[in-house]
Amino acid sequence: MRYVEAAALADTYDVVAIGSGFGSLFFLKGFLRQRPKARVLILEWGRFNSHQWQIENQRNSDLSGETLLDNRSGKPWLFTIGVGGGTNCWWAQTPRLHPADFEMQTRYGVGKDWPISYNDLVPYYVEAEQIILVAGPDDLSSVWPGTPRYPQPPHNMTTADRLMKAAMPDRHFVVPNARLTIPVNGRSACCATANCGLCPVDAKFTAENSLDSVLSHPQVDICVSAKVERLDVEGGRLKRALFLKEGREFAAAGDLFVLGANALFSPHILLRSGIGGHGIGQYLCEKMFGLVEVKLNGLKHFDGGTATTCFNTSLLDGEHRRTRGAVTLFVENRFVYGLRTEFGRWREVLPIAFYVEDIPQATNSVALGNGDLPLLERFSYTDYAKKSIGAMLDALPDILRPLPVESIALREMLPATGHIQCTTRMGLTSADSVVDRDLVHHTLRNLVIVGSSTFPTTGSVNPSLTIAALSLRAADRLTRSTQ
Amino acid sequence: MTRFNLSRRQMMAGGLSFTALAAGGGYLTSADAQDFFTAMLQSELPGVKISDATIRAFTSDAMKGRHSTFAPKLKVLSMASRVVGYRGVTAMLARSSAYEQFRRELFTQFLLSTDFFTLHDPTGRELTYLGPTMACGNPFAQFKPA
Repeated sequence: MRYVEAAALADTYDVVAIGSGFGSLFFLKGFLRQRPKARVLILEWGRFNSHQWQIENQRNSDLSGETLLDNRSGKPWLFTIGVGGGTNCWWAQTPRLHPADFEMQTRYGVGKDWPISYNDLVPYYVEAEQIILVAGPDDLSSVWPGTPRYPQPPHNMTTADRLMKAAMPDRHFVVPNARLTIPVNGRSACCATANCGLCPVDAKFTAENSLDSVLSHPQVDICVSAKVERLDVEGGRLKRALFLKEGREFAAAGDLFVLGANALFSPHILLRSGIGGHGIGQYLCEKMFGLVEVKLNGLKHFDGGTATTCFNTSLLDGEHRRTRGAVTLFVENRFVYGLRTEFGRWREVLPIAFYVEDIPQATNSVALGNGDLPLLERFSYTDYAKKSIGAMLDALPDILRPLPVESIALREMLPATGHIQCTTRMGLTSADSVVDRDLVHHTLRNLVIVGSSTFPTTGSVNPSLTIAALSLRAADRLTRSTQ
Repeated sequence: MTRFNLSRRQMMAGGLSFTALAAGGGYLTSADAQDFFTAMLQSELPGVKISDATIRAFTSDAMKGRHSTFAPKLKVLSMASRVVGYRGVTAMLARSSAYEQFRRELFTQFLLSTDFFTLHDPTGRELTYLGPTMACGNPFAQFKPA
């Protein structure tokens, strides 16, 4: 990586990227492939915390997220500030969104359609899966059409998964993920430590272990500890990013700006800059996230090959989405609530994690506030999401019928997923969104916004792969259109 | 890591009751964290041979990185277990999901810190304490398709 001091920036760059998580780095990956001579500057608020530093310190960043917000919402918000962003802390699940997730209004009369279809994104999903080296099964095309063979073989299922798979082969699948089954280029194979946020064996994809082609590209400068305050507009175009480093203000000039500072800070930067667009900072959304514990009778669990082994699509899509959210169930192969204490029955327990889709509401927002910090005044989930939990609990006995179930209990609803979304949504016009179908701002045409802030709706799965695919697509579309 | 939320009221009630039961008090107040773990493991793992040194080492590891309220609460549990035993404590706190979670977490941590699951007969010989594992600590994980 070539670090550059704020006082030693080039006069101007072809691309100035703000933030260095999935959104920015996958955009640059695609962009530099087409334009390898372009001069690129990455402005990153955090510093580079190596994998070794993270393991030694048992945290992903030296910056504590909660101190960076004026958070009155009663809810924690999880994110990582530093080179690599969310690639450091993610759990490395790589499901795609479901085709219906892109057409919620058309199919079910709720939420908002995306301005692109699932099929538009398929080639870029495939590309992202190849870059990330996703490990996954070869039977997922029924859920996600156009899923070719993954670059790595799937992780081993648990015995409980095998019973489920045999009973419902079209609804129970090994979950694709970015934890290797075969070691590659210094990344180890996953050994089921189940602490993926801080993977001790470096098995999961991170920017550090897999995006050196961007971070160490000879045309890329990286300026760390550079907090972008606002963007300067002149004559209908962005001209420069103004940032603070060590208490001094600097400017970085560029032709194209890529804003990928996460779904809290990207809208905050836009608001501070006086940049408009429908709903900037509004529609702040996260899925609901909970855990169920299933006690088993005579069946031993925890014999899978990775932390989360399978996902179940029984509640993923269907007419129920007219009135309540999609739910994705994940079989956890980790000791979430520990082993059982009854002698000899230690392993007869099966934790299930679940995500519940929610519909973004304009009343949940990131606002300017009075100080320098993004203000999160309130947050609530909709009844659309809440209703899904009861319905899921009603459905679980039937879904789990292949297993010798002793009891099913909702153990807890967790306060955050770390999947912050929808605050600079994409859409067809400036009347209903901030960016267009190619992630370009509707009026400032040299501003690309990347990341999950651009999602119009949440779906019910992890967003990182979709962020990567959207960025690859945006880079591809932009470089083709300006050839 | 679970924070064991034994309530202030539970702590005070438990502490006062057991202190009152001990006329001299010294017997109870000399209880330490290891006593609770000893009682728990003897009760949950009947016939399994566990040395004092193993429980001492586990206690030391289990206390690391805990919230400051962990040790005092554990002391109350240790005092209580001296009077009514581990089963008595567990019966008293049967409706406390925090206590249930606490003992399962510690029980799991103990088993995974020993060679328990590698023994054909866990009552056959004394357990060996291996210590906590940072990586690859699931002894049941299978990495090749069955």
